[in-house]
Amino acid sequence: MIYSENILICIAAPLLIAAIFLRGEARRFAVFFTVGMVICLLSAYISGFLEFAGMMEADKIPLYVSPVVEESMKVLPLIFVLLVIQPPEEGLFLGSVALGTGFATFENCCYILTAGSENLTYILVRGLAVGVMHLVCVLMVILGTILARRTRTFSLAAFVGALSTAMCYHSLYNLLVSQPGVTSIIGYVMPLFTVGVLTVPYRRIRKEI
Amino acid sequence: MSGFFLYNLNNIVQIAVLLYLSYRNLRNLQQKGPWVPAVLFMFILVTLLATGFYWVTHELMTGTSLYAFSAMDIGEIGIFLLLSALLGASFKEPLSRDLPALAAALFFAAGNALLWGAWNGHWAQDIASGLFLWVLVYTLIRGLKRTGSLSRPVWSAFGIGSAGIFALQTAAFMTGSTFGKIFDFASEVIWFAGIVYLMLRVIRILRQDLPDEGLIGLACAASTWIVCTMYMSSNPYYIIADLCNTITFVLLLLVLERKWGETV
Repeated sequence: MIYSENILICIAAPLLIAAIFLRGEARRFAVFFTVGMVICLLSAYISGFLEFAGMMEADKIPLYVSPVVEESMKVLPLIFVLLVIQPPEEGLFLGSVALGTGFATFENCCYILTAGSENLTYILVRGLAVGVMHLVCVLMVILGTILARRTRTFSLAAFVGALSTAMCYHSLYNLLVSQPGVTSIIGYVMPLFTVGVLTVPYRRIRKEI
Repeated sequence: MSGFFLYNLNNIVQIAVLLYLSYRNLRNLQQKGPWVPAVLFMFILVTLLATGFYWVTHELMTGTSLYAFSAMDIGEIGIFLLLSALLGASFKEPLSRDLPALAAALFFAAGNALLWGAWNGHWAQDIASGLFLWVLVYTLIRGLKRTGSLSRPVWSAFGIGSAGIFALQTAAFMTGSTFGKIFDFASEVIWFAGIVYLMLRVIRILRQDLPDEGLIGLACAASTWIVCTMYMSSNPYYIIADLCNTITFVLLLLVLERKWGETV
């Protein structure tokens, strides 16, 4: 058993203190990175509660519950920022990337503390597959948010539609890696491949904003 | 294993086609032109790919039935919303409120959702899907009304056809085996008549290069009608409708490319 809250305090404390001395984008990155870690912990609480409440068998939680809970939780800070601060699109990108990276980092820390860090293959998989998958999902949602801003009257449809895409993608990843074999290898490669694909709309949107 | 591939052949073909469409759409995105519809279409393709791949992988790995609100259901709801957004983004002016359209969309969506629930017993997920179908159909009706893409007799035919399908499917559900199959077949005839009409209409406009502002609306309507057919059909009708759905997404890309060409 690990004490995730203690790990969070240990990693977040220097980041938050550093944020006092930072300005502009660097500060935004540090804050969103920390928020991403907090969101990861809260998502684990909710998924754990649902498992404890006997809603589903433990092996089904990562396939059905975690993707929905985690993606919905990641969206909450972005909605708050959108409604309260209304940042420019460039700022939204930066915030979402930091949030996704923070989420993935904290999850990786907890897994490594549980399973150990001796196996380099396992560490690479955690870093390049799961870590990147969380980033990809947040980027999908943020692309959807930017689309929602552009489509105006159908903003909710575009936003929730993009969120559904991220949930679907996350579920597929969890399903693929749930058993060893060819499917898990496809699952591990999928996030890096998707990053390559996402760079095309990202570059295009960067030109426009 | 070969049995598995035969059973899932339509899914595998669909994944291959969607991968090609995604590549072509990405290539379009790199060029100049309106990027909002292209990115929305990319989201639709990714969701379709993820759900198709999820289904095949789940079948291959577990062979068990899916729980309610799985990635498949979430993806299907997402596609309804993304199609609405794609259609909405194709108009310069926002679509105005229209009470008769809202009522007609409610009739269509509620009829479908109630029958899905009656057939499979998953009431919660079917009602949720029905609500999002309502959003999509409402957008479609308003969009097609604005562009005048469907004539009054065609609107009437779709209205009467929908009512006929609901009546026949209810009768099939109530009567059971022998008569049920006849009613079911009759409703499939109406579903497929709608599919053939909408697909041929889109192909005709595309091939003859006829002007039609509502082309995206027609392609989205074809896709929606096909999805509703699939949800209310068993094999082999389901597989045929699924293949039609794949063709519709090819048509939708061609429609977007044509729009793209007009704007550049």
